Amino acid sequence: MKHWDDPEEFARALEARDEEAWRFFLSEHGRLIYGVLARFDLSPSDRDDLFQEACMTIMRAVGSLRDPKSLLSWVYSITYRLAIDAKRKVRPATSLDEIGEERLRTPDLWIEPHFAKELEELELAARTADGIGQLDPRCRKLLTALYIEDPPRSYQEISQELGIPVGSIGPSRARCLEKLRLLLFSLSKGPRPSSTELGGPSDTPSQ
Amino acid sequence: MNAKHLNWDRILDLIEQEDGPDPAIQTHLDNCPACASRMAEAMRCINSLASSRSLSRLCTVPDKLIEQTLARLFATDSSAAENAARDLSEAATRIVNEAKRRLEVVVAQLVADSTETVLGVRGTEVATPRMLRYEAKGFAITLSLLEGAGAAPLEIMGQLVPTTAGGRIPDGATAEALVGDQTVEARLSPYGEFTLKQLTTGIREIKIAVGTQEICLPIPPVL
Repeated sequence: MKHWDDPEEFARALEARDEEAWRFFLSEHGRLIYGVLARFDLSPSDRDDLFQEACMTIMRAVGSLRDPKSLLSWVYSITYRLAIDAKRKVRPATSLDEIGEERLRTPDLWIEPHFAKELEELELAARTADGIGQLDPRCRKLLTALYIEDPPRSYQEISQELGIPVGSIGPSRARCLEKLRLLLFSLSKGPRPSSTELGGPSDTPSQ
Repeated sequence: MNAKHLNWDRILDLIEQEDGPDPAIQTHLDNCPACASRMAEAMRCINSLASSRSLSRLCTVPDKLIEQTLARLFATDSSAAENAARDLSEAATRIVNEAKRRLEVVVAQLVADSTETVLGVRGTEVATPRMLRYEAKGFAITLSLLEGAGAAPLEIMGQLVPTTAGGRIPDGATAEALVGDQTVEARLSPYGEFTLKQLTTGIREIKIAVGTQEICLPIPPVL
């Protein structure tokens, strides 16, 4: 199966309805859609229908995606919204008289707390994956080996695989993490990160 | 706080240090909001990376669902084209049927024009409003051309009256005035009355669509 490393080229192929690109999308990123839907209380058939609906929505809308580099975050949002809409439709109608104080305190669209936490984690994971996708291949490999692979690789293994001295791994890691930090900030709507000039003349705190 | 903040490399080392920072650095972190904030950012960044493990732990999509989805995605594509072609064909059929329905065109005969003198010669003085009377197959039509003063628009009031016993005005009858290459349309009342407003002069003809007939009313110029 052909792989697409360039997010913009991949988005263009999806928009052009390239069947090979869609096959790659479904096998690589379909897991995110499937994983999000699995965290809603849906029957297997409803989940499969929504999976297909999400893919159709993505096919129709991918041309309007402003930043192809944030594809996964966008896919997460579309899937999440579709799942919420589906839950809203199946929610039984309740007369106002039947709503007690307890019910009023209950969220309209109940999601199991552990699923809600997993959904938050998936949203963050999607955004991080978008950020990692924008790093240069060397940084991508280094951070994946250090922080994503389970168990993480030793510096010795990384040195051999990436062909960099063990002593350079620490500084390279710092540079790559700094790049990722800025990328994640640009992909999120969080508070502005503190200045990168904080390093100062010495890393030894005054006594 | 003093300027000797912990640099990014040092912060990352501290995070990975299993036995925690030494007391001096811990005191600095406790008292330096800038370094504490930077440390928190580094932790968030590393936690984000760790969270992306959750993507690799996600179940793979069943092959059957992938194939069904692909079939639906691309079938939809071709069926959309088929639907568009079908819609186009239906629209063409409707147009042809409409054209056939309108094939019975009747040119009404002008039987009276108020600008004509009793001698049958049109005069230069135009009576206001100018009245025209026509006869067509089963109908008599009267038009009053109300020409406004100066540049005011022309208005035509008309009435279509059945001339046969039991004749009636079919539902949906419309009148249409042709002015240059533009048209103004009005619906006929159940009594056959209609008003065509906001017209400019130079009307060549009026068409009245009644049932399967289209009655053309040529408007003769005033001589």
